[in-house]
Amino acid sequence: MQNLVDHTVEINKLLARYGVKFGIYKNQEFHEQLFPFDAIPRVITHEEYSELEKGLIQRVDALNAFLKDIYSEKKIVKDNVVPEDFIFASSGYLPQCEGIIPPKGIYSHISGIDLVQAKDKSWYILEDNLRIPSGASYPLIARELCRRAAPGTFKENNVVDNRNYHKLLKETMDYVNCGGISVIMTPGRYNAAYFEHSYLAERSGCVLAMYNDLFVEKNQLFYRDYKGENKKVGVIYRRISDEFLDPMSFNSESVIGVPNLMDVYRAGNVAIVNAPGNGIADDKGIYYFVPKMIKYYLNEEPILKNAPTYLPFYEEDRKYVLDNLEKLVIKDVAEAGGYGVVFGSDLSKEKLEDMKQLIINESRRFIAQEVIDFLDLDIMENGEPVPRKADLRAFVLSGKETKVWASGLTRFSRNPDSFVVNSSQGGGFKDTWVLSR
Amino acid sequence: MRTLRFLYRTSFRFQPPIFNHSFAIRCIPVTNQVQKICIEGRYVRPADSLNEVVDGFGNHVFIGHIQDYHQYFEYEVVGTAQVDGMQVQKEPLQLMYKYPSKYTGYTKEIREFYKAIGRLKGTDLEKAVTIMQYLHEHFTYVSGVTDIYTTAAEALKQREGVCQDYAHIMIALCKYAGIPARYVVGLMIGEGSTHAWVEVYVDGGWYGLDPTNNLHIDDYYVKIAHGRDYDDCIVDKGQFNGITNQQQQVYVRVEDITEKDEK
Amino acid sequence: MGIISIEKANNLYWLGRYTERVFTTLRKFYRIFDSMIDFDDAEMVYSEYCQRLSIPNIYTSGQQFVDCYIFDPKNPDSLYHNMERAYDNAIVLRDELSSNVVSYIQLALDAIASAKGTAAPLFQLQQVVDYLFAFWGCVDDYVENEECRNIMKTGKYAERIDLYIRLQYHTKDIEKEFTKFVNRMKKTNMHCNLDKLAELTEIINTKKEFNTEYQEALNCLQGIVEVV
Repeated sequence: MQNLVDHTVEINKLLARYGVKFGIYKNQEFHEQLFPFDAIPRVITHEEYSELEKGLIQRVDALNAFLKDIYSEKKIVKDNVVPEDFIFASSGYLPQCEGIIPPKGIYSHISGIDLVQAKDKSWYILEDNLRIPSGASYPLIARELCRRAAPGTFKENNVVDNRNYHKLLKETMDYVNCGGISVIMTPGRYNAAYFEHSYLAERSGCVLAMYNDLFVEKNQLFYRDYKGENKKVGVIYRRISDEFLDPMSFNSESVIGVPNLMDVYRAGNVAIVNAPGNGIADDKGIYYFVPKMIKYYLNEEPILKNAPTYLPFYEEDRKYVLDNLEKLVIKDVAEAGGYGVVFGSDLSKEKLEDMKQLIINESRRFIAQEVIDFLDLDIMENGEPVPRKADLRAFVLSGKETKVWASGLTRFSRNPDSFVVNSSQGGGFKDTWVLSR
Repeated sequence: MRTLRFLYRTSFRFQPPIFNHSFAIRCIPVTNQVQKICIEGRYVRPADSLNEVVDGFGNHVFIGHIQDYHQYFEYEVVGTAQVDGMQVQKEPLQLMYKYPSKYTGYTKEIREFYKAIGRLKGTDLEKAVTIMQYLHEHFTYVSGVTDIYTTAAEALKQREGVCQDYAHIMIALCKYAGIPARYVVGLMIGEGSTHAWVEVYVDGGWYGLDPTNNLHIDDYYVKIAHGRDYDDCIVDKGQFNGITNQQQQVYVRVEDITEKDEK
Repeated sequence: MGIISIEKANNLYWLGRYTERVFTTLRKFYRIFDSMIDFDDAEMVYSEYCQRLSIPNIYTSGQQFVDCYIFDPKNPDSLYHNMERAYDNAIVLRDELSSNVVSYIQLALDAIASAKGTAAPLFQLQQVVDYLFAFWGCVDDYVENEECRNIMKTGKYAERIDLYIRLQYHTKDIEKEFTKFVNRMKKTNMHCNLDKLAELTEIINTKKEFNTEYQEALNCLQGIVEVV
C-alpha cells in the first residue's frame, strides 16, 4: 500500500495528462478543474461486498418495478403504500412518459446508489441517483494508473479488477438496443462531466454525439454523417437531463435537445438510457418509501438500510422533527448535488425557528434524517494521514440481469468540518477496492 | 346534438428562409363521447417526413422534419363534428389533474381570490360553476396584456387577460377546491382563432366549462387537445436553424350545418 | 467507428491546422529568436515576421515580443492561444482519437504554460515540439479510422503550405507539401473546389519563388477545402 501512496503525485500527474477533469462555473466563467486523487483506497472486504451486492440489486430491482408501476397501473398508490401527493406533486413525475413501456421494460439502466458507512461498520443508503449518475469513469481510469504505480500492491492484495465498467455499460446498452448504432449524447464540453462522456464513449466504442449530430425523421432517430449517409440510432445514453432532452415534449426553450425524440421512444424505435421520468423514483421524498417498495414489489425484507428518515408530511414524524431539529439534518427534496442540505446543529436559535416554520408550512418539501456517525477514511495531507468524511457511489447496471460494478466512486471532503463530499463542492476521490477473497 | 363544419389553418412565412426544421402539431380533433369527428381533409407542408403519434395525454400529434431551406410552412384540417355537449365524459381520473402544475400553482393570489369567492355549496359541478361565474365577473378580457408565459397567479394579479389566463386561473381554483381540472384547446363556433377552456372532473368523468364566456361546453365547441395547462397542449411547436422574421396567420371557421330535422 | 459527423469533420480538420500552426511557427521562432540576438534592431526582425504572417504588430520590444507572442493567452495570435484552439478541437474528439492521442495535446499545452517566465524558454519549448511530434506519431498508430487521419492531415498540410508560402520557404518544399496535401484531401469526402485546386497547382508549378505576390496563392488555398 505504501508503494501506492508514495506515487500519489505521479498518479495525479498522469490523471492531468489524460484530462481527468470536471468543469465548474465560477462567476459565470467556465473552468476545468482537476479531480484530486488520494491514493489510499477504500477497501471493501469480500463478505461486506457480497452483502452490499445483494442489497443493491434488490434495491434497484424494486426501484425499476416502482417506475414501471408509476408510469402504468400505479398500483402502489392505489394500495396506499405511497401517498399520491409524493408522486403527482413531485417535479420528478413526467406525465409525458405516461403509458410508455421502454425497451425490455427497464427504466433505470445505470443507477448510482450513494452509501455511507457508519462507525459500527454498517452501511446506510444516502440517496438513489436514477437519472444520470456520473463518476464511474474516474475510478475506471485511476485503477489503470494505480496498477502501473504499484504492481506489487495489486499482486499481494486480491483486488477484483474493476476495469470492466465500459463493458458492463456496452452490454447494458446492447441489451435494450432497438436496432442501430449506440450513441452517448453529451450536452458538450462545457458540461461538468464532459470528461466522463468522452472517456466512456472511447472505452465502450459508442459514438459521442451532440444535439446537432442527431435528428428525427420518419419517427426514427438518426446520426448525421458528414458524407450524408445517416445512421439509425438504436440506443442513446444521454447525459442531458429530461428537461432539455426534447423541446417538443419538455422545455420548449431547450436548444440542446433532439426535437421529437420522445415520440421515437414512445414508438419503441429507440432506447433511452436512463428512461425519462426516472426523477420520480430518486426524489428525496420517495427515498423514505424505498424499503416499503422492496416489500411491496419483491416481497422481501430490505437488505440495506436507509438512514433513519422522517417525513414531516406525517404528523407523527413532523412532531419528532420539530422537537429534535437541532440534532437532525434537513434536506430539501427538490435540490441535488449536496445543495439544500442543512444541519440543525449549525443553525442559530433564530434560524432554527425559521426552519421549523418552513417545515410546518411546506411539510412535503423536506425530509429530516438522523446524523450518521460516519466512519472516516484516511487521506494523505502533507505527508500525514488525516481522517475525512467520505461516501461511496455504487454503480448498478440493469440489463439482462442486474449487476453491481465491483468498485465505485469514493468521494471525500477535503475540509475536515464538512460532511458534503460532492465534487462540485471541492472534494477529491479514491479508488474503491473490492476484495475477491 | 348538432353538426358543425370546421376549418382550422395556420400558415407561417419565414424571411429569410429557415432549415433543419422540426415540428410537432396538435391540430386534429379526435372522436370521443361528446364529439364524433369526420376528417375531410388535412395536410402539413412542406415535410420530408410526417408521422402521426399520440402524446402522453392522449392527444393526436403530427410530428415531422424539413431539412432544406423553406420560406413557408402551413397546416390545415377540415371536417365535421357531431357534437352532443353538456355531458360528463366518463373515464378514470389521471391523478396528475388533482395537483398544481407549472402555470397553475396555489400561490398567495390564488388562495386569496379563492377565499373571496366565499363558501362553495352543492355538488362539485355546482362548485365549479360558481367559481367560473365569480371569475368571469372579476376578470376582464383584454388581449395583449398577458402572453403565453403568463401564469395563473400573474394574470390574476392584474385581473386582465385572455382565454388562456381564464382557463389557468379557473384550473388553479378548482384544484385548490379539491376538484380535478384540466386545460383544453379547441375551436368555437364562428370565425377567428383557437380557444381555450376548462374541463372539471365530476361524477366520474370530464365536463367542459368556458370561463371566458361563462358558458357550459355545449354543441358549439370542438375540442382538439387537453393537458395540465397550456404547456401540455401547445398547438404548434417548432425548432429550426436560421435567424428569421416569422409571420404567422391563423384562420378558424366553425359553422353550424345541422339539418333542420336533426335539431 | 466509420461514422464522422459534420462537426467532427470540422474539428479534425482544425485540429490538424492548429497543431501544425504551433509546430511550424515555433520552429520558425527559434530562428527569429536567434536573429534578434545579433540585430541591434529587434523590431525589424519581428515586424517583418508579423507582416508575412498578416498578424498585427502589437509588440513593443524584442523581449515583449517573446513574452506576448509565445505565452499571452489573451493575444489571439500567440502560440499559447493557438495551442488552446488545438485543445478545443481535440477535447471533443476523444472517442475518435483515443485518450492517448489527446494526452499529447494536453501535454503540449501545459508545456507552453510552464515555459512561461523561465530563464531560457527555448529549452522548455523544445518539449512542445517533441509532444507535437509524438502527437502525430500517435495519430498514425492509434487513430483507427483512416478517414479521420486523412481529414486531420488535410488540415495539417493546408496549414503548412499556407505558412511555407508566407514564410518564403523554398518552392521545392512547398511543392512537396502540396503533393501530400492533394493526396490526403482526395481520400476524404470533404467538398473540394476543383477550380481553385487547378489554379493553385498552376501557380505552384510555374512559380519559382514566393517573395512577392503570394497572396494570390493563399487565396486559392483557402478556397480549396470547404469547411465551416
